[in-house]
Amino acid sequence: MAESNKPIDHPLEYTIPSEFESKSDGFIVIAPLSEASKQKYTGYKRSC
Amino acid sequence: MLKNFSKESLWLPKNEQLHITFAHVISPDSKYKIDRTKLWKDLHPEVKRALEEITKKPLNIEVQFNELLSFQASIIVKGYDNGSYDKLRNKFIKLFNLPDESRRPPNIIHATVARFRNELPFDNVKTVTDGIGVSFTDSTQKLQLIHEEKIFVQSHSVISSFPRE
Repeated sequence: MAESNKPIDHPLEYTIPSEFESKSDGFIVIAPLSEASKQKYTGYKRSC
Repeated sequence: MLKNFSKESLWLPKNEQLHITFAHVISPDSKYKIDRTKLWKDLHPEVKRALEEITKKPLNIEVQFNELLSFQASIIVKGYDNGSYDKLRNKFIKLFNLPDESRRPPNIIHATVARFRNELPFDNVKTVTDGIGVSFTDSTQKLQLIHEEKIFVQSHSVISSFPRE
């Protein structure tokens, strides 16, 4: 699914401030959070 | 409380953007003496080998997130493990020639859950996090080597996952 078509969990996800639109060219190692943690995050966002 | 902030001043990452930064190889915000493309071409094989080495044993790092911390530019959740992140990060950067200009690995485990457009008065930020208790456990089972195309991992491509799938 294209990123722009993914469902959103909070209205503030819609708008990315222009300062955050900067292109990047970095190589990084990350650990993605688990699906369970992402659901927790959704819950926190909705409760705030 | 988030309603008190405008869309222009607060940004919440999408779920799929949530991550723990394990380590930088070529930092997005650093200037290098060598061209980035050439640098990456040189580093890629040894970085891949280093990641294969540190994930030889299956990863299963339990991280307990129990702090929500406010800063003027962001809000993070901070987590604690049994020291595995620290050991793996230190081992990783010893296995290849990490450029001097690259950021050293962070000494904390955290995920950024909100960013502010401009630095806001701290009291305003605190209103978001005051009274919110955070407690959840995450299990790190894989690392991803990514190319970040837009800052804050808003847009990126996964080069490889480790352990290899």
